[in-house]
Amino acid sequence: MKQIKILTVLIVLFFVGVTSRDIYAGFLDGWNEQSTVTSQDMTVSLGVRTVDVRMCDSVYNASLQRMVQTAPDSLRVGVDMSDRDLIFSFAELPVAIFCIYALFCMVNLIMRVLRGKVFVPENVRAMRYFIYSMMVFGALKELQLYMYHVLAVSQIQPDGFVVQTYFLQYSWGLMLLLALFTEIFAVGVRIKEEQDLTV
Amino acid sequence: MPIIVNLDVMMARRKISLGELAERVGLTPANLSILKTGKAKAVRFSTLEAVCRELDCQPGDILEYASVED
Repeated sequence: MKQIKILTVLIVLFFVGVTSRDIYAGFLDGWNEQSTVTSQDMTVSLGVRTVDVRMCDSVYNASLQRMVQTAPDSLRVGVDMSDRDLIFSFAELPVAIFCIYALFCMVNLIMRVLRGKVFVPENVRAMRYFIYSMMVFGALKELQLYMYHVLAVSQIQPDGFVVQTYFLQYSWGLMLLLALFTEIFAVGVRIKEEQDLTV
Repeated sequence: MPIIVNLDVMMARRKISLGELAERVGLTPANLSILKTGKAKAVRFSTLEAVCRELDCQPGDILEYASVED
């Protein structure tokens, strides 16, 4: 039980830290762009590879005591989104609300586990709500980011750079692993129920 | 569920209570109640043997199969 309490505290601290950092970074981005970006503009990060050496720069490395080459691997560019962003916002809102409910279910799961109720169907339900809502939300965000990428590539031709092909941004491996463990846990609960009802 | 448990019928015939039968069979009353109310998912042979011994009956007197169409 002590490990569960420690891990719960660490998870809460992690999420609070990441969320605070994102909120602060988003606020700063908006504050800094207020004078140059129109209401329909949006900045998108494009992964790039430098092909023109003139695009490279150099910085001094104190350990090596010489100049070393630097090259950007991403460019943040302004893109005209028009109303496309609104469509995704409407689709993501109900899913985001369900994700918040799923987080509430996870809190209840931890409370039940701390009370000693581990292998119960309610915990299986909570874990399923959590992981599958996160996966649906992640899929929508991936689609949105891919759309941004395609729009940016169609509007921007950065000289001296080759734009990298879009790749998945979220940790799908970890999410799939979590989904697998959830289903394994569900099988365990079913077996335990059968054992409990074996006379 | 197609398997019907008629334990309560046999208990009434033998005039034995749930608590007493549970004690003789070596189960808790709660566990035996699971069998009596038909909620059990499985029955061990050792339990079936003990129940039949105490109630002086055959397994078919306690367990009955009824197909879904019945």
